[in-house]
Amino acid sequence: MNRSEQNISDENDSQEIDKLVRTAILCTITGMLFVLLFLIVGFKAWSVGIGVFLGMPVMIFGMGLYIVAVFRDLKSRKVLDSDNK
Amino acid sequence: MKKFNPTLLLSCLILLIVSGTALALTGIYHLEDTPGSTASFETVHKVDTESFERSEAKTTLDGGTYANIMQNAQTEKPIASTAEKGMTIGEIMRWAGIVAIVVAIVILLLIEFIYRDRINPMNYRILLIISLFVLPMIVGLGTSATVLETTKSVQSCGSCHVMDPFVDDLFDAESTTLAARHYKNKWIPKYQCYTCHTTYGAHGTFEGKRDGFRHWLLFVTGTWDEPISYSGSYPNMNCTSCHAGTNAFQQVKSHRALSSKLRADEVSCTSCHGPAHPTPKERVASTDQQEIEQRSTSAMRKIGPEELNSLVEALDE
Repeated sequence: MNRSEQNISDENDSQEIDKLVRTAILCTITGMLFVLLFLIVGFKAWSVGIGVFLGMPVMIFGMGLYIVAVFRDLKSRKVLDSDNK
Repeated sequence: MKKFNPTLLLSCLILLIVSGTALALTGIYHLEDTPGSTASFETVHKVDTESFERSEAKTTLDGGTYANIMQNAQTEKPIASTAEKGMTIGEIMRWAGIVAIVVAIVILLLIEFIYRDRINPMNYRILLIISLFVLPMIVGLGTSATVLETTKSVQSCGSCHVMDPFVDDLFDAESTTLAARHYKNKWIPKYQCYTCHTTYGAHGTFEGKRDGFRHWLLFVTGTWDEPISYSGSYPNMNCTSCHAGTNAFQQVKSHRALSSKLRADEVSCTSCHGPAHPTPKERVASTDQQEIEQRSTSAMRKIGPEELNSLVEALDE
C-alpha cells in the first residue's frame, strides 16, 4: 500500500470513528434524558419503563459504542499492535 | 493545530459546581417541606394515621422491635435502631444521577456541536471520556440505587393498582391477616412489604429482579389475571430471620418438633399462622365492593341539583 492509499484509508477510518462517536453521543444523550425523567418523576409504572427499562439500555449502548470507537481509533493508530511493544 | 478555548473547561467546572449545589439545596428543601406523595398515598389507601402512631417508624428494622416485644423486654427502644435524619443514600444517589446527567449532556452538546472545531483534540478526548463514560457510570449507579431504595417502600408497591387489596388490607386495623397484624402492632416499623419479601431489594435474587420485570410488563400491558396469585415459593427464612431467635418461638413445642422441616421449607409458616394477605376470594369480593361504591358515587354525581331536590321532596312526602 503506497502513501496516498494509506492516507485515504486513514481518513476513511477517521470518518467512521467520528460517526461512531457522534452516534454514541446521541444514544447516550437520549438514554440519559429518559433516565432523567425517571429520576425527576420518581417511581411510577410508566417512568420505570421509560427511564430504567428503555433509558438505561440506550445509555449503555451509547457507552458501548464509545468504547468500540476508542478501540478502533487506537487500532487505526496502531497503538494496540504487538509490534509497537 | 486547532485553537482551544481555555475558558471552556473552566466554564464546565463552574457549571458542575453551581448546578450541583443548586440541585442539592433544592433537594434538601424539597425533602424537608413536601411530604405530598406520602399524604396522597395515605388518602388513596385510607391509612388511619391517628390509630397508628407512626412516630417511631423511623428506625431501621433488623428484627429488634419484634424480638423486644416477644421477649417482654423492659425497654421499648428497639435493639440497634438507627435514627434517620436528612437525606438517605438513595436520595443522595438520585441527586448525584440528576447532576451527572445535566453536566454530561451540557458537556456533550458543547464539545460536539458548538466547540468541536475550536477545541484541542486532547481536551476533546478527555471531555468525551468524562461525559461518555465516567458520568454515565455515576448515572447508572445513581439510578440503580434509586430503584433499589424506592422499591423498598410500601408506596412503591401501592403505586400499581393491582396491589391495592394488599396495601389496603395492610392498613386495615380490623384485618387479622399476618401482614396487617405486623403493621398495626408495629412488629415491622418500616418497609413492611420489603421486610417480608426480601427478594427484590439490593441484596435480592436474580429471580426477584426477573419477576419484577415480568410484573411490570404484565401491569403496563394490562395482561395480568385477576385475582393475582403468588407463583414462587415463600422461604420460611423470611419469617425465621426475625422470629427464630425469640423465646416465644422457642417455647412452642410444634416449632421445635418441626424445626428440620421448617428449615427445609417442607412446612410453611403460613400453614398454621396464615393467611399472610387476603385470600383471592376476599380480594375479588373487596374489588367488587369497591366497584359498586365507585359506581354509586359516579351515579350520584350525575344527578343534578334540581333532580336531587325533587327526590328529597318525594322522600319527605
